[in-house]
Amino acid sequence: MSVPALSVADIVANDDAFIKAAFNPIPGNDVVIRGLLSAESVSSPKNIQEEVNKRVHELENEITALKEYRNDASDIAALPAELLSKVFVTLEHSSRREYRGFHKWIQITGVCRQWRKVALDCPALWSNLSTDDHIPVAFMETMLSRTKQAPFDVNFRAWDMKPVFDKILFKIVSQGSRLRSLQLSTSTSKGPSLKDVLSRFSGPPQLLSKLVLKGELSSMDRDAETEETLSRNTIPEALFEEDFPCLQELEISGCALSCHTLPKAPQLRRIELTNYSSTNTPVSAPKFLEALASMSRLEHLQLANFLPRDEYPPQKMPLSLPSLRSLQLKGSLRGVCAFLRAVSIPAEATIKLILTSDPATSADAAQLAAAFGGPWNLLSGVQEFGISDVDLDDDDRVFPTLRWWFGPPPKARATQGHQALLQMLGLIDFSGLRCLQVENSPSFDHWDTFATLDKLIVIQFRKGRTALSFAKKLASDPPGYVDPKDYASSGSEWDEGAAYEKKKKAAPPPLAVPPYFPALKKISCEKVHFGDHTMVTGETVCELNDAFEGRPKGYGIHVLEVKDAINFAGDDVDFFNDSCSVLIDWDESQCFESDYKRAHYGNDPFGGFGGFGGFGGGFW
Amino acid sequence: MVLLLTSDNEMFSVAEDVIKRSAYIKNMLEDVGESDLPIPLPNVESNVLVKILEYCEHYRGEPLPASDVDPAEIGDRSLDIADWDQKYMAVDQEMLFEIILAANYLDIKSLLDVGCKTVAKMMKGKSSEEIRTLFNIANDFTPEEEAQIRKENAWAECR
Repeated sequence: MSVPALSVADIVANDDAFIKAAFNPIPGNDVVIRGLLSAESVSSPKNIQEEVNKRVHELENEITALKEYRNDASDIAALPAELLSKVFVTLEHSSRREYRGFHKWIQITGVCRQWRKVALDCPALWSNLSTDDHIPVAFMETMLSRTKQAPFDVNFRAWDMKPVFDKILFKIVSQGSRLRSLQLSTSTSKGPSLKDVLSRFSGPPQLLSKLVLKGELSSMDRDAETEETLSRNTIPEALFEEDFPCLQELEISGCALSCHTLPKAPQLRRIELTNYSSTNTPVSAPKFLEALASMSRLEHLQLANFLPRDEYPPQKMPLSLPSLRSLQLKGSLRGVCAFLRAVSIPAEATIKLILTSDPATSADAAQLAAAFGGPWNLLSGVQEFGISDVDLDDDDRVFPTLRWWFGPPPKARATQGHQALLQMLGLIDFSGLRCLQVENSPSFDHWDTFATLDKLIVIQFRKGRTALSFAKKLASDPPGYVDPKDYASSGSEWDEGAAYEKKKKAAPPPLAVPPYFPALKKISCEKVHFGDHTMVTGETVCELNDAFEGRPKGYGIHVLEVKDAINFAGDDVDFFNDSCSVLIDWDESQCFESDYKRAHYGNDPFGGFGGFGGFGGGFW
Repeated sequence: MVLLLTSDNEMFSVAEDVIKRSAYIKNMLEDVGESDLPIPLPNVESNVLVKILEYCEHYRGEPLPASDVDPAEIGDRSLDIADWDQKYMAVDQEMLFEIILAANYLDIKSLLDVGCKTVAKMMKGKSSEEIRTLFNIANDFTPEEEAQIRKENAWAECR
């Protein structure tokens, strides 16, 4: 007769019938059972159960001890806790950037007792509290407790700022001295307000290196910004009275600053401040300058509708921002000019301006030019220049903004809608210009400014149809220019006839006046519209071909680069190849107008030019 | 040349610029200066040292990482491993962990990082049970403990 196995699980089940069966011995089994229990303890069923449970517990402990001992002999047990923690942290960090399965790393806490102990004793493993990870509030509490006294990072976003987060948020900000980064984005009406949360901040924020506070997120909400929402999103005065010795990044948008100044943060390297509402009072000029004066390491400053509206205090010298490498300003002409006069920016800095004053006048242009003058003279030595049309939003609405972007080498972008400010083109020295970039500016017609430049070797077009007006200019002759073909050497077929007669006339020596764009070697077109394709080729192709054909010897254009073009096809390449020697570097992507969909710019407050320094994906 | 004496009493003569990838040896050479005496490595066996030297030789001439920079701080959070490193780490588990231990002892940060990434990569996406199988680990939790852990991590299971 077979002996039933007496498993631990069976005994734990505490099944009376089973126990009785066990003690009505089946031959062979009774010896085992009798050995487990002493004779005295089996006097009653209750005693039997207690004794069995006790023994089961002992056995379980023994089994656990044996398994732990066995695990100690595994290869990976060679790694001490310190190194196993490092492996865990590596795994957790790598999971943060994943959309799916990013919580799978938590499985390590359920592998064995040793691993669980190591994981729970490793604060770094639990130091990233983010609503992006969809961690339930209850587990966030667990994570927070597991950070022990170590630094930790917090990132709570608007759509998850539900009332349920009150408690955990209050607990988090009450431990401000441990915070390494704090990013809070709240919606207008749901959940705890920024004001409530931040008023409970308890510092000092001695470790905080990144502070991001956003009052609004969606563009729809921005339109609805009211005094009430600004009140909810007010940053308490007491917060910025603290010292922030490690703060390197500060980003605030859609919030009211009750103190009208910035925190004391000598390590700050990056500041981005955005107001969506023109009624929100930004920083005060004297306090702002005072705060900036303490930020000698500041490298990036972006102010969108955040420029002071009051008067700057009298200064003997403009405030020097020695480390600044990029400056982005969006605001009124008056505010921008006042700020540019109040500060001194290194010549290496790149500047992007968006003026919201509308309409602009010639006097405005002069005012802006004056603000650029003085020791910080970016109006000379231009080697690259860019022009871009007005931005369009998703509904193709035109934003009434001017983009004017200088940098070293000074760069600029201007909308054709502000003709008056384009007068500043006349104030800039383009004699050293080597590269011109034009983005989506169909009405731009300032080719006279660039056509005679003798160092301009590259012109790049991106989006739009501006290449057409350029092609027409390229195909035309400057005043006083004489086509050398009219004076070609005798003996050729072409010399005969009317032209030969013309040649006999008194004329200036050939090329006393060079053609337009005399140094041009390369034309690059990315996502450019080549015009209506009603004929074999589009209008732009025809004009360019005429221009290429007409280029005199020594002034030839080497390359026409065409990428992702609209209304450009293999026939156009053949057309060029049949009549001119310009190399057509075409990526063979064929897209016709019917397929074309306008690319969106995005919704950053600076209009989504592909980011600072991004002209068409990386040129700038 | 630098003499290294392993725990199993094997002597290795190694070019100084090769072994200086080990911050431990580098510091020792700077502290002690030139010497004919071997540097004892009581925590490293010869077969492991051979592997370590293979790594150091491969990266000979490459700039040493800054000693005060934590890879986690500079954003190196992926589990991407260079092709050569992947092939180098294609060893049995015993050797893999020996390499990690030796890299830690000899203070070769880049090798330690590659080792940790390799192990993390092996674990990535696996359940507790699969990790146990992978590393030959027994489940030493009591049923009650296991149920508690499963309950605690249940939210992550359904993501």
